[in-house]
Amino acid sequence: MISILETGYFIWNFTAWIKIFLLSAVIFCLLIYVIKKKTGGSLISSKKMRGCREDRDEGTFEQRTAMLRDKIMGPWFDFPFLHVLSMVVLFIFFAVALFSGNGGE
Amino acid sequence: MNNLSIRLLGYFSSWVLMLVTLAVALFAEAIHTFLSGKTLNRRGMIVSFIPLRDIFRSITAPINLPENAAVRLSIYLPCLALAGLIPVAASIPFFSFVPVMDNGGDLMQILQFALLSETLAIISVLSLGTSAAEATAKRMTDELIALIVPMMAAFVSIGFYYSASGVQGDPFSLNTFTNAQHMSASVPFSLTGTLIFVFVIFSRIPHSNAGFGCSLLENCELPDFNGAPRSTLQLWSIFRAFLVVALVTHIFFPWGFFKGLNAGFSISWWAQSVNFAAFWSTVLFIRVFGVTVCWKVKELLERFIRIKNGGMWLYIILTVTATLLVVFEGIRISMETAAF
Repeated sequence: MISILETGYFIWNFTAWIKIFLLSAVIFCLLIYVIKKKTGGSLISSKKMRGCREDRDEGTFEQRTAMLRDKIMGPWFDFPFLHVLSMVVLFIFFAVALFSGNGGE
Repeated sequence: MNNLSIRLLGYFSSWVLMLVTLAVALFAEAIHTFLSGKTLNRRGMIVSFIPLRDIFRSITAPINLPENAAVRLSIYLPCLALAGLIPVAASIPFFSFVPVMDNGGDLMQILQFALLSETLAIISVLSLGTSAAEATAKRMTDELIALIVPMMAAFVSIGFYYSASGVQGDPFSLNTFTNAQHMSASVPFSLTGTLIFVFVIFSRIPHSNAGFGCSLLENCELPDFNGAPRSTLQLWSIFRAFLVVALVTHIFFPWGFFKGLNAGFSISWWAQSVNFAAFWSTVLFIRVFGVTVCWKVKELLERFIRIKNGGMWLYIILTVTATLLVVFEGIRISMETAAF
């Protein structure tokens, strides 16, 4: 379904706008949700924090991200011809986007 | 089903490609901080070279909110504000080789989404519920008005100019602006007006003081608000500044020159690549150097005006003058056309 508002020159493909906004919102909110779950932290005042788990290992998430950095991103950055490989990866994204018939609404 | 998943994969790929272009904003911010830090260090001021690193580090730090905060709003609204910038990015031609939507970059729609994003960011700061947060939200509102009014005046007056000069198609479309007729030497009033608009808009971009980049919050500001939501707001501020630079650069970019250059290429993809590279290099250059020059000129001008709220009056006068100049050129051209 495509809803388009059109008055003279003014054309607003509402579906296209809302789709990209929602996709971005869902991805960003999901990321924050995962980070919140992993890191915890004093979200609210100490009064309301009563009953929260205090034995949580707050360093776990940092360790995981450090592992991602050291085990995955580090070797990638150390790789010879990194720039060429990055361009190839981007080109694959480009090809997928182009040949899936996704250009324009 | 298979077709749908392929389309979804394609849509997601386009989205990722757009984020890659948006990463140029971080690169520009890093260069700008490095250069301005070097200059200020030479003057004896100690400046941190690593604000970007701090932003990314605090993403994984435990989230911390003030006592009175509306927790869910404070955590998730910065994400929605950031998401509000993505449709704006998508509607700028050349943001991605594969356009996610084909709207012709209508400026009124772009400004509507920019306003939505700004409103969400302001509410997210307000939801912290402290007096310091209220002061920050008030500052953000003032900065929003100071930025959006000249931008609207610029787009409406240039749109009027194109409408009066009888251009075919939507006069508010970024695609129409690529004709660059309003920047021609044969229309001096319009040219001057547009340059004044460019100066006014660029000198209102940063959230923080000149020389310290574009991050929304300083290190000492809202210390009880920490973690991923704070980083998201800082990134939102950096991307917002970059998108404004990209939008305004689109108005005065010499598209005509590149159209001529493209004639030599037999494959249109090569021509597109040249346009893409040239446009984003210009945006990067303008973000790093052009915006800084506008800040310096603004400081100089404000020093000369010794009345209360001198800076504000300067912007009002400049915006009104620029609008009148561009509108006058439009009326002049339409009268010439009618006489002819």
